[in-house]
Amino acid sequence: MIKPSFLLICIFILPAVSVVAQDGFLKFKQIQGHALEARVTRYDLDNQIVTLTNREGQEIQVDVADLSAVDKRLVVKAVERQLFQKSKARAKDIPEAGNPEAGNPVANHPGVGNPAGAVAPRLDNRRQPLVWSSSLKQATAKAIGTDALGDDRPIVWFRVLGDLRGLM
Amino acid sequence: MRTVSFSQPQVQAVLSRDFVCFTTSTEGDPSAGESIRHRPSDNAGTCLRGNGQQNVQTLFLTPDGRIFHAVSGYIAPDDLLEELRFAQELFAVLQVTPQADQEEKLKTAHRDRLTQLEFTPEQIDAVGPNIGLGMDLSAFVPSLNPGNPLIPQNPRTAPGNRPVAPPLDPMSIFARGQILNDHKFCMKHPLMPAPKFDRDPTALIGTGKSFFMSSSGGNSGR
Repeated sequence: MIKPSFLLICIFILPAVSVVAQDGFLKFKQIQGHALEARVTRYDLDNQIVTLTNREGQEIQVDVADLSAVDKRLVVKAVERQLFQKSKARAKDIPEAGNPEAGNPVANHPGVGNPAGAVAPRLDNRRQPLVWSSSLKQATAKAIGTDALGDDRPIVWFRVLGDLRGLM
Repeated sequence: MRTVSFSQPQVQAVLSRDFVCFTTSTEGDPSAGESIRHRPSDNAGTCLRGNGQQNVQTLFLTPDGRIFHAVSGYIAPDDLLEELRFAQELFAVLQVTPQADQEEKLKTAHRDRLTQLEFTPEQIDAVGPNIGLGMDLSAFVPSLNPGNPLIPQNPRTAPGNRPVAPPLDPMSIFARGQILNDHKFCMKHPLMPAPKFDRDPTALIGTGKSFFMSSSGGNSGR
């Protein structure tokens, strides 16, 4: 479900995560026999391989299974926090419902960490007709790799008596 | 929901940007409720959170079509935005959770959410009929449900007839019962495949028949 490329992008574009060190470097207890300060720069969920980058910019690939419980927790928390930050950054873009006068931060929000410096699609308070998929197959095809960062999106399924576009 | 919630620009913006929207009609499904039909242009009636759970279900799916969050019945714009935020956060967690651990992670997340919404462990773990399923109004009456921890057993008066508790609000009990029921469904059936739910949604919506109409009286014609 998750694409390592997405994680990599997230890690580079989001503010540094400070689990231990203020500059985003994590203090691992034991990586290949040594203590190490490094950032999590890639996480391959399918193969359970984490790539760490130390202060000198050297990359070290580690099998997650080889990590101690403490270090494993550090990795999981780091990735989780980065994804949460992404989620919260998006949530901040959402103007309060029922307060259309509050303006729309999204409209002026630069593309979140887009490495190419591109700007995210602008959203404003004008009505935007929703695009509905009419089958689960169609929705799942559209859900993979289609958000602003090329990542997966969740599907929201409105199962209703009637037709949302007509009589119901 | 169409007239009120989906017409909110903020709701539209979030749905368009962060979700893939998918809709199906339950017309002809024996589990569906009943409704006097109305047009998109009809005035909206006043609805309560969770009302019409057999008529409307909002289900959040992983990209491979497994349900990780569910909301049954009507949901107003503010509440829908809140549920969208919760679903986004939950989806982010699932993305970094190995598949073998996702069900447990999901159960924990829904339990934490209920706790955050001030449901008690007794209410979360209670077994038995939930409020709202089948619109069973007897479920609102504490005297008929003396042992049901889902029903507040607030005394109206303390010894000496001193008033101590506000009057029971059946509507808020109903709405909270629906919220509780939705999260408990997700805890009991984590990551249920969407086609399986479509074949038999009664685990979420029960077997009753909810009824919906607009304040304009709707339109019985087709």
